[in-house]
Amino acid sequence: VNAAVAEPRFAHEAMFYRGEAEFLAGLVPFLREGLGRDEAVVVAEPTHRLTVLQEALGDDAGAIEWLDMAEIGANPARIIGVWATALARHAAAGSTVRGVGEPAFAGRRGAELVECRLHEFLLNAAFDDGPGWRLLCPYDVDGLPRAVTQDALLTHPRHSTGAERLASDGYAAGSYRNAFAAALPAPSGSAFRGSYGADDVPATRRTVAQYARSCGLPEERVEVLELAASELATNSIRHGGGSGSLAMWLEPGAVVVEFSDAGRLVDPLTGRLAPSLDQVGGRGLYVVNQLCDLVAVRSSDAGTTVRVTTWM
Amino acid sequence: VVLDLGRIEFMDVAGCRVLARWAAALSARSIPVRLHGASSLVCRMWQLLNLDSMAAVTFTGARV
Repeated sequence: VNAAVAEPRFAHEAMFYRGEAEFLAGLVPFLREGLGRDEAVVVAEPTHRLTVLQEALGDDAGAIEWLDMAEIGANPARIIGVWATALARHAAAGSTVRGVGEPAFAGRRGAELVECRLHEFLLNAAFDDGPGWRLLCPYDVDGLPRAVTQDALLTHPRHSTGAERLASDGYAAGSYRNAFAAALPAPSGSAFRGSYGADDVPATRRTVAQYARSCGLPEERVEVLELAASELATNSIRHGGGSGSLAMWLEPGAVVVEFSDAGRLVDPLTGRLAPSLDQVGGRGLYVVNQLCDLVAVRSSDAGTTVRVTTWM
Repeated sequence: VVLDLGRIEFMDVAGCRVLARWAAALSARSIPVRLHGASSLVCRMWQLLNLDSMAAVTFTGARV
């Protein structure tokens, strides 16, 4: 065994911090170490954190690739695709990747944080069997609900607090399967419900468009939801046992449209990675993930649910 | 060839792919394809699905 060999696997680590000083103390040396090793260094942080880091790094900031997490990760189901694309690009250039990603940043809505949790689980599924790279995920202990920071111990095999790097006892490889199978919370109020069969795709998308319009969503969002309805109802008919059910309701500040069917989505990464040109299927969900504000997918033996949330 | 999409009320992912395959077949015979009046959502899907690499088409008069 050659001890000098870099970590061969995907090293997915949570970093807990309190305040800007700890944030910088954890990240600046990590980023500089990557630059010193000629790694491709990619940082995905919310806007205000990007500025803080860039100022602290001075001239070194120019060698780092900066992504705005509030933009690329607005729907957390898009983030794995962004990392996969960066990895492929840098691997082609012969570089190892060192990333920083803060998907669960302070100020996000509760429903977004739930999807950030699943995203953090699924990162392990996406990259554990691939080439090695490091991803450090900062968690703002003061700004996030305690349950969110606690759950980071379940989703990251390692974590650090200040100078200490530790293995996470609560982490178990493969536990993303349970997270993907878990039911979504029930609507907080009453919902309009209906069902659709093989001939009902056009009627379903029109019903969804009408509801979205009646909720006061702008026409651009209405069109996106109409497309989502068409793709998701088609998926139910093709892969979900030929039919499905639709539910539509309002949450505070959001319009929610949900498609459920009896099918089982075996691969939890479906729709998260950019489809190849010759790939069979998976495109509809990918497009929905890219275009909609927040998309939650869950699947188990009991069936598949895709919940699309649009912020008002 | 110019295809006028101005009166298409709705097009999904499958529809876009049918168009791209049709455009690819024409491109293979060196016939340039122009899609006129596509909705901004169709243009967006085209880009997300990387259909440009399947068939080189020009978009004109896209609807906003």
